[in-house]
Amino acid sequence: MNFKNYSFKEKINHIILEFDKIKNLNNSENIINIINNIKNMLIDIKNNEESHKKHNDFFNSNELWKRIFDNIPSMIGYWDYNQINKICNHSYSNYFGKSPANIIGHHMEEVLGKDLYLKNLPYIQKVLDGNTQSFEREIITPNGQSRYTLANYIPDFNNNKIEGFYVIVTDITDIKILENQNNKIQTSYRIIFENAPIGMTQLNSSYEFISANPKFCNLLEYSEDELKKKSIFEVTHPDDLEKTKDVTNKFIDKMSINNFIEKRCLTKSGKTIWAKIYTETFFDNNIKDYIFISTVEDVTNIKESQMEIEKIQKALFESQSLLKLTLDYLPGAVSSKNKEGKYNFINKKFKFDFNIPQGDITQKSDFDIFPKEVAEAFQNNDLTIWNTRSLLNFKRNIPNYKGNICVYDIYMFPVINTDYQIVSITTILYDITEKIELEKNLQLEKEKVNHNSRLASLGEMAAGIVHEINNPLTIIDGNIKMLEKLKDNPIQFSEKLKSMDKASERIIKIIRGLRKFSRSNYQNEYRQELFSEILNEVLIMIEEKAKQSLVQLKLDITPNIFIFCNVIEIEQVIVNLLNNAIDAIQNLNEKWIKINLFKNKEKVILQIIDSGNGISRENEEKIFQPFFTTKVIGEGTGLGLAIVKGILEQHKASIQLNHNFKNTCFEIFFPLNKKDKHGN
Amino acid sequence: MAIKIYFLDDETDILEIFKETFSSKDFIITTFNNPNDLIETSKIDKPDLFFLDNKLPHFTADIVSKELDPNIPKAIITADVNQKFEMNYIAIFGKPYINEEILDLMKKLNTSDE
Repeated sequence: MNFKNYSFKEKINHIILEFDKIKNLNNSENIINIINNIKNMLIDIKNNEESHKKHNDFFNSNELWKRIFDNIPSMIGYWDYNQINKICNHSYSNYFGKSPANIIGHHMEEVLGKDLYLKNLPYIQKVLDGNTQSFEREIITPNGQSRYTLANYIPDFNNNKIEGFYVIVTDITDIKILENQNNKIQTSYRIIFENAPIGMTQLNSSYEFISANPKFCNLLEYSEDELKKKSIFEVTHPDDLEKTKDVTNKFIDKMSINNFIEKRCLTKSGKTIWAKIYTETFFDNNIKDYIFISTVEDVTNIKESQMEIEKIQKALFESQSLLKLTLDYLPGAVSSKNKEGKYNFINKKFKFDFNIPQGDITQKSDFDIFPKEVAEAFQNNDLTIWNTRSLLNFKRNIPNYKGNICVYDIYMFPVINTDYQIVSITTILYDITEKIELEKNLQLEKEKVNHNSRLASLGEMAAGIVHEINNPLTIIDGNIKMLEKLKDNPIQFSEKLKSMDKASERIIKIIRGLRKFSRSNYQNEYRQELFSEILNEVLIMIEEKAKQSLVQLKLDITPNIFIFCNVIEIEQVIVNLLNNAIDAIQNLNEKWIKINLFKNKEKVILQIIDSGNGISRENEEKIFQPFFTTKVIGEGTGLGLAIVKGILEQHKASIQLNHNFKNTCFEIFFPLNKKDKHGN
Repeated sequence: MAIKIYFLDDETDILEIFKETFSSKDFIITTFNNPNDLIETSKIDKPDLFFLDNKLPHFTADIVSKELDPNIPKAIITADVNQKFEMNYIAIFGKPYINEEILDLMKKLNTSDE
């Protein structure tokens, strides 16, 4: 320490010590040095004479001391062994309304009042026993104010004998208020802590649990005591440990700033829960360390819902993408329009077919894409759907991007939301131009095949037909040649004419039947036909052959049965079947064919039963195959039953063998003519 | 001398016309519409010539011919002249036949007989 900074007393002492050093020195040089030091010290004292004087004045001034004594806010006093006040400061008047003049020389009870004195008496007795006392006391001042004080009683020992005690009473009202407030805060905090609907914890600076409220304990399934043995990291899910460490590191760095984390915790049973945690950092002056107070909200449900939503959103996105991909690769042109008729969406096919340029489709309407008449037609369709909510299906000719007129099979339907409101109209257009062309060609080919088969059947009958025509021709020719000779014999003449007439009728019938039979029917006329008339026509064509073959025809025809059919084709079917029957029973002893026509509730049934023994199992499956025949080469083309089946299928009819008869029985089932919902 | 001709056909009108047309002092026409009758009768009373229709119920001309005396000439009168035949026939006539052609054949036979 520098000599200048010593007090006056210290400086004097120092000088004395320097003089003492001289006594022990022999060396004159050293002595001189010390003398010089002493001189310097004295000069210093001289130079600092004023400040020393003030200092001494200060300590020598009773007045100043009295002012200090009286103005100290604490009560300071001295009471002798008999509890009589010897000295007190003015602060007593603030508390008891008595000046020092009215306190000095008075008993403590007089000064304090009986109640207060009795309260303090135990402490008075103890201090007079030699024990320093310190206690808090509430004092009601003369103006009714309540003051909280901290009283210190200090025994005055003199030669080991207590002569009295010093009293220092400090006003701690403000501190007490703060303390009370603090207590209230603490209590409120405790109430909140214990009863909060969310978890709350306190951690120390090592992130260990100091306390945890019941909610938090329930959340993690630990008791508070169990938690106090753990750190926050021990109840954190391993995958969120890093995250937790990052956040906790900031607790002290950015003290008093909210720290938020959403993470997974592990319960005692190993369950994972999601928690949203807010943490505030405080410095606890009592323990001189940081504490971290956190609120912990269980957001497991929310998180799971969020994850579910994310999954759904992802799935939705994926399905939307899939939908878009599907729509783009559909063979149909797909579009969606809003109530104003503006497009929401079109797929790739739509863009391609109608040459829509890249860009926003949402401002376009049908009038921007199609010719006026087509757009107007679509507009009407839209209106129908908005008004009736119905699905429309129709065909329309629309020019494509090349300007070619294409036939589209169009489906239009409303899209309805969960409030049953129409939100848009979806249109799907299938280009069926090629399909129609193919179908036309196919139909033509079918007709050709049918025609050829009829001709083939015709060929098959040719020999018989030639025979059937030539015989009557022979009769007519022979008779004509004889007419000349018989002109004088009217009876025989007339008989010859009759015979010729009969023969020519035979020829006409056959020709008429053939003509009708061979006519190609590309027009495919379907009409309501009386079945019995169909059978009559067939019989004209077949009866000669049957007669020639000595086959008896037996008919059981229910009258007034109509079918909707192409009469030529049905005649062809029945002729084919009857031809086959006649051929099949040629060499049998018993030769007959029964033709039964009747109906039940749903079907018209035609049975052709011949006297044969039935079709062998081996042949039964094959007989309807094209070119299958049991006839020898040259006798039949085998086309017949395959064509028969095809024609019947076109008529929505069917053919089968009925094994309930011991003979061969072909049964044909025609749909019974009923009107459909359109009155057809 | 008259020759005996047997004619088989299932059409009675044709049989009648044939008989009326060709019956004369030179030609004795007997008509049959049943092959069995023809066969049996020809065994007892042999003709000089057979005329046979081809398409008969259960029978063809070939089937009937096989049952007849092979030495007696046979001719076919048929609606289908393109038909292939197994047996030998001296002529095949199509219907309607030409009277003169039939007559020529019958005359030839008559001449040869003489």
